[in-house]
Amino acid sequence: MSKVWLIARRELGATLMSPLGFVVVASVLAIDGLLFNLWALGSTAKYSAEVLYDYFYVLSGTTMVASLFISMRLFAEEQQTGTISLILTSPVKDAQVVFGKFVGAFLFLALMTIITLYMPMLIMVHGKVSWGHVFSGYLGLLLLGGASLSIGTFASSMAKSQIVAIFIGATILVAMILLWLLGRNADPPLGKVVSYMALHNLHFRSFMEGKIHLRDVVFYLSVCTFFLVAATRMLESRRWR
Amino acid sequence: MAVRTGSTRGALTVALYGLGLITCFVGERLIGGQGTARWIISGVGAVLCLGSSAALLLAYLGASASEKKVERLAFFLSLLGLVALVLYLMGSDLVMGPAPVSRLNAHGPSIRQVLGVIWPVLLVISVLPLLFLQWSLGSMAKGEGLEMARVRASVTGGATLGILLCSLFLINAATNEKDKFVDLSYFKTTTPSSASRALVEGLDEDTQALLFFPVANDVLAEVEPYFKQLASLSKHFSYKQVDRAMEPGLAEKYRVTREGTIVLERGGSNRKIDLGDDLEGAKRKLKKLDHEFQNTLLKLSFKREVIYLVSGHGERGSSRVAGDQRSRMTILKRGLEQSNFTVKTLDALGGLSQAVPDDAAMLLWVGPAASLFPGELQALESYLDRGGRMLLLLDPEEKTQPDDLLKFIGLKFDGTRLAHDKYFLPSGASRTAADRYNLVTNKFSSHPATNNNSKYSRELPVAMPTVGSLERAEHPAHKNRITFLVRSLPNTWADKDGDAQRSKDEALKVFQLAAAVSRKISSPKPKGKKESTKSESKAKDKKGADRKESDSTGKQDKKQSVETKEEMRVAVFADADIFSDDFIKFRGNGYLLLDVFQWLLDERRVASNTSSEEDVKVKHTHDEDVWWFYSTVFAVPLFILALGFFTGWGRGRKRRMVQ
Repeated sequence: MSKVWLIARRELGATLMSPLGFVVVASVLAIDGLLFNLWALGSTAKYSAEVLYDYFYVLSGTTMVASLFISMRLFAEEQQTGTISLILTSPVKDAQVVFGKFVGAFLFLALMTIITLYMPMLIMVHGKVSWGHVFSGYLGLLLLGGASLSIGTFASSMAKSQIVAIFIGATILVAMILLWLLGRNADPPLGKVVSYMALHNLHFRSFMEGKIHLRDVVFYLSVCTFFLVAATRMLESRRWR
Repeated sequence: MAVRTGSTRGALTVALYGLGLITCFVGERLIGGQGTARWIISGVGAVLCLGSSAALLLAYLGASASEKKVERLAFFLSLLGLVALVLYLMGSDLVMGPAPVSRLNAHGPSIRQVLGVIWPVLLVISVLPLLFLQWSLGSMAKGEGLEMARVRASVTGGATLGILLCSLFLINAATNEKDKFVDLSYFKTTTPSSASRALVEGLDEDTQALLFFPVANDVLAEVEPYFKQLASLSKHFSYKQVDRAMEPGLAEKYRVTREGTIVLERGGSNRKIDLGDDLEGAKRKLKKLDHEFQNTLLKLSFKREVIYLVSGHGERGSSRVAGDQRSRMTILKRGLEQSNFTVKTLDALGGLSQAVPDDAAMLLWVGPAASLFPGELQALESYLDRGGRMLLLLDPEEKTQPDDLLKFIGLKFDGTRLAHDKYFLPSGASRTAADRYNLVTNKFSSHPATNNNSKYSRELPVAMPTVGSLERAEHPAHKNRITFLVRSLPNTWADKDGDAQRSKDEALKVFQLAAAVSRKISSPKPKGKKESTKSESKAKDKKGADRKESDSTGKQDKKQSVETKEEMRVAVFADADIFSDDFIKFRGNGYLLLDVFQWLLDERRVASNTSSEEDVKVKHTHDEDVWWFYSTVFAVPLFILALGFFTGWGRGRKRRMVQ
């Protein structure tokens, strides 16, 4: 575990010491702020619960996109700079490397997400919103962000450049988001299974409404687990490919 | 012919195997049915898979000693995939037919369900390692020899992923089935209220909710947890999702013409709740789902009962009368009708001079302004003696009051208007001395009829415009149990001279503004009273005293079918305006009315309010808009950039420059 934490700290430190990290955070905050004003608050008076619902909706989009940008460099950058062989030959297991890098990236994402807390607080000033609802939304964002990060990590472990990594990651992410559309048009029970696998539609809505379903938490953790194990296998495959 | 040595051929074999599986999927899922096309497409797919497996078997038989292990593994994996296909075939309608199939045991899953879990698992854990194996073999084809360690690592990797995928699917399926959730939102919309729960718990007959929604519908995702919770409360309540396209017979039976309809069915009759299948459109209706559900279930569960509005003595009614400026009772009447009551008027000509009709669930008498006709008092007393229920609202501005009836009940009414210097309700923008008569109070006794108001006295004060006061009668006709429900705030005075100013002889004190009167009665059961249902008993169970009474009633019923124990219940308010159209909109008044009705009607039949308060719209001015916009879009991101420059990368850059 200490090795995982060491890698995570190193990853987080590297992000915070580079302009990219702060530029990503500032850009995400600016976009979130813009969408908060234009989409969530809107031009007409809306119920506070609706404002918060819309706010989490737009924030989920920016979180997923930010996750891809954060994760694209995790392994693809190492490939580009040639430091991947250092990692592969270091006395650390592949799983520890993948998990450590993921934890580092996730902590950065969590930090970025939590900074946006001032926006729901602005809703609280004028409306009626419970802390539980805010907590639920942010828990959903962290889980969705974690799942997106794991997809990005997997994509990064597959690709040799960051551009390719973000392309692969975005493709998987968009495909997983659009599964609900496929599920809607497929007959049961396949339709149910496919729509259940959709990353956003069924599982994130409850969080936006202030409800925490065990089903949704397990789903996001499952997505994380699968893609992180897949990334580990992908890293390992360099030894037998 | 070995897969490894001829890697292109090996890859082609595995590709054909995959193509066979995809063809089977197209035949079974996309085409389906019983037509020839399905047979042809699925058959081609199966032949492709079989052929590929045969090719892998041949490769194994013809492989050199060093490659035998690998070829055997490839063949074994392809064989496992074939077994999965056979299991699928066994569970499909081609073998088992469309009808439900036998179960492994009485309560367990069906054989089809078991096969439906096993074949995908087998397929995944065979295909993924096969793909990984081929992948590693493909990369080794460039090299000189076959490295078993690499082959083993690749197959293990594929198998691990396959097993993990299957495990995660099963875990998710189980969690989805036994889902638990917690609603942390401020305004809970899809959680059944305690009243809905009590209604469902008290069901004594099978009731089913049919949710007519397509699969993976957004509104269904909102509605299903609500009914799932209710279904867990009673064995008599169940729900089922119905796809109108898949089960047109059911849709036709219940005359459901559009998606997003909920049908509640009980004892052959049914009622619908229309939500729509578009989430945006259904949002508003979803907020009232609990209320709608209660109303609909009440309409299904209980026979329509009658509440009589006593009239003929200058009372207030539900419709406007020329020259009468007093506030009406339209909203109250509408609310009762929505709660499945029939509201009728009852006067001397209609039979009040003889007797109160047997079908009367309750009498409502609002602001009597004239004396009772001969026989009417006896009829009312007789009705109450039989365990009747009455809500009496007295108007202090009327000169004539039903004093005899009040004495029978055990109360005395003083029509002197009460006033308060400090706490009153202004009637307009500028305060006048007359506003002092519009009392507000949050002083409630602990009683079922003031359940919510006493619990949330700060949030739910009541407005009582032009109110008199009540006290116990000196020589009551019966030993009734009297509880004063609402008191005035301290320092209220009775304005005897009517000038809205306190004189020296007008003492400051606390007055009683409403009373609940009850008396247990042992008498022959009134004809019109319907048998106590389980729902009623359940509702009564909430209160210990009522439970005892209910139990004793049950015992007595066994011994002596004629005798039964009833309770007379009367709620008297010294204000006729408290539940009128102008004041019922006050939250405290609304809640008080609901609780009073629930007490009078044995805590049943009246649909309760489901949310404690209403959400507010977020409004902000133009100046605030600008402030919100600039602070969220520019100020905070710039602050983060500055923070990064001075603490993070900026410091790192300086350090690097120094080095």
